[in-house]
Amino acid sequence: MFNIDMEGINAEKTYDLIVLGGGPTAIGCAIYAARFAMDVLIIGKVFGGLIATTHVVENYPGITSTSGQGLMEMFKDHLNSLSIPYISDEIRSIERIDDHFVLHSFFQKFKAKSVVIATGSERKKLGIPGEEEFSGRGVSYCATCDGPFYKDKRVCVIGGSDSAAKEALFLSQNVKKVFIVYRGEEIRAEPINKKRVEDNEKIEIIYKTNITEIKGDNNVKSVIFDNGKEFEIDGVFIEVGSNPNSGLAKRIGVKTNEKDEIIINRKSETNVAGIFAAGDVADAPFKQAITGVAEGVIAAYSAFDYVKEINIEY
Amino acid sequence: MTISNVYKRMIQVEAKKLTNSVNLKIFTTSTNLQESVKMLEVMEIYKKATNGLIKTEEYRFETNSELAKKYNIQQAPAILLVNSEDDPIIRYLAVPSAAKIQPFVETLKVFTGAPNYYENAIKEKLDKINPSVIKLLITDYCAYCSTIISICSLFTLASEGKLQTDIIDIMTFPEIGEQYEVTTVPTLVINEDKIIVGNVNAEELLYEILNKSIRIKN
Ligand SMILES: Cc1cc2nc3c(=O)[nH]c(=O)nc-3n(C[C@H](O)[C@H](O)[C@H](O)COP(=O)(O)OP(=O)(O)OC[C@H]3O[C@@H](n4cnc5c(N)ncnc54)[C@H](O)[C@@H]3O)c2cc1C
Repeated sequence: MFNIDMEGINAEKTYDLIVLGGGPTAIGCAIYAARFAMDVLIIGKVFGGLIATTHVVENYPGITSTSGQGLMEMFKDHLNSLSIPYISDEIRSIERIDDHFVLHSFFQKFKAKSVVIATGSERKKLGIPGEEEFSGRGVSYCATCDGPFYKDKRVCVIGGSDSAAKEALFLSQNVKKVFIVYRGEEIRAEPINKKRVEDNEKIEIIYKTNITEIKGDNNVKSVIFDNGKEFEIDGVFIEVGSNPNSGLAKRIGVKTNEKDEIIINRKSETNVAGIFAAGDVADAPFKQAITGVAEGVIAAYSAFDYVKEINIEY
Repeated sequence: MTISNVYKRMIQVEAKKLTNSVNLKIFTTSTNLQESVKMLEVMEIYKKATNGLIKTEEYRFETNSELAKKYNIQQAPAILLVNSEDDPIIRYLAVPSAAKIQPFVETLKVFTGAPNYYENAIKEKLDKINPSVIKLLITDYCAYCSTIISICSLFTLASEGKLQTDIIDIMTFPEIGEQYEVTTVPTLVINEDKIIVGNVNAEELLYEILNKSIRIKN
């Protein structure tokens, strides 16, 4: 959805703020930074972030119902209206040089007086035999992307979160049968989605079960449960949570908690002056697009204050 | 109207970014009439939005078989971007709507002189790049596809003819999806040999076309 638009990008200049990430948190942050008249650049690996992979968002105030991609298209429109430059690249390291930061990608170097890290999280893998081998051949981490290839097939969704329930609901539109395989005793979906799952005849929940192996030939054919049973299936959608993308921040001394989430305060400040963090990569207990946007907006305000304070050519 | 007003508006906003004129060749076919009509309609929106900066030559696949052969077009509808030697460098077997709008316009912009983010990296390694045809298999509802379309297209434009990219919508051409047994998008097929499944970033693609090993991930 978003690209390598060189217009308005200047690798020579020192931006007031570089926002890392392409999800709702980064965009919310950049919109406010632009309105604070900061010279802001967004650098994100893939525009849209995690939310763009969901088929329906019904809890973003002001928008009764839209797809995740639809929501991000509205965000993009808003970015465009403020002419905020966006570059699609992955930042590999950040170093502090005097009173500014240099951000390195494989292709380019960028300079900024302050940085907001909104790098979100990476889908967790199950780490079981067959997962890697059948990735893209029956194992998927995105129902919206790959669900349509399983028309009239039997698939399972591994996990019991609200995301897992939503993935199952989406898949049920197309497939013959969806099995939610969950290790717990009750799925943890929002009550509204839990009820939809329970009412859906195509969805069946298999509780207190883990899968230990994915088997097949060219494509996935079955999974093995921890009770030893082999279960025939055509597709395995893995939705077992995610790990924060905080490695980059850790390498410049940003503190994280035991879950590897960046520790921030109510001003979205990290322990490193000039580096702020927000959204799924940070340590809030409840993570949604709207909470990420809110933290991102606070980060923009704090970065604005910070840059004003250090007063480097500002 | 075969495309939604949302995408029509997106085209109108994006296409305004084009400042120089560009010629495209379009092949249509009566065997896929619906998609052919859709492609022509969508291209009309682009043409209007750019005040004629986008020009198209239209060919019927069935009655221009020699030309189709020359450009190695086996299926239609297709849009071709050809270089000064009249070689096709980027082919869209896909209607440039939805997630393809922005990368499509960006490709045309860079083709007509706008700076290319990957220019230096590609030029530096040009002698080590293997001549490659990249087939990029995508769909409209794939959240990651837009970025990879851009990366492949911009690599191709910087490669001085060493790379060719085909962007193929496998919902329009399901037989191509079936041929490669696609169950995940994006899927990249390089020189009919390596198949890379899932979201690949620019650095990884560069390694791949340099014939180094690649970390395949989702
Ligand atoms: C299936 C599913 C359904 C969901 N449904 C909802 C819902 O209905 N409503 C809701 O509010 N939330 C929902 N969520 C949660 C929501 O998606 C996240 O809370 C939200 O996307 C977090 O936004 P973010 O910007 O902090 O992180 P992300 O969305 O993860 O974005 C992070 C971005 O950073 C980029 N990035 C990572 N590393 C780097 C780097 N080194 N350099 C540059 N860029 C980098 C990534 O490419 C990505 O673009 C859902 C999640 C899932 C998985």
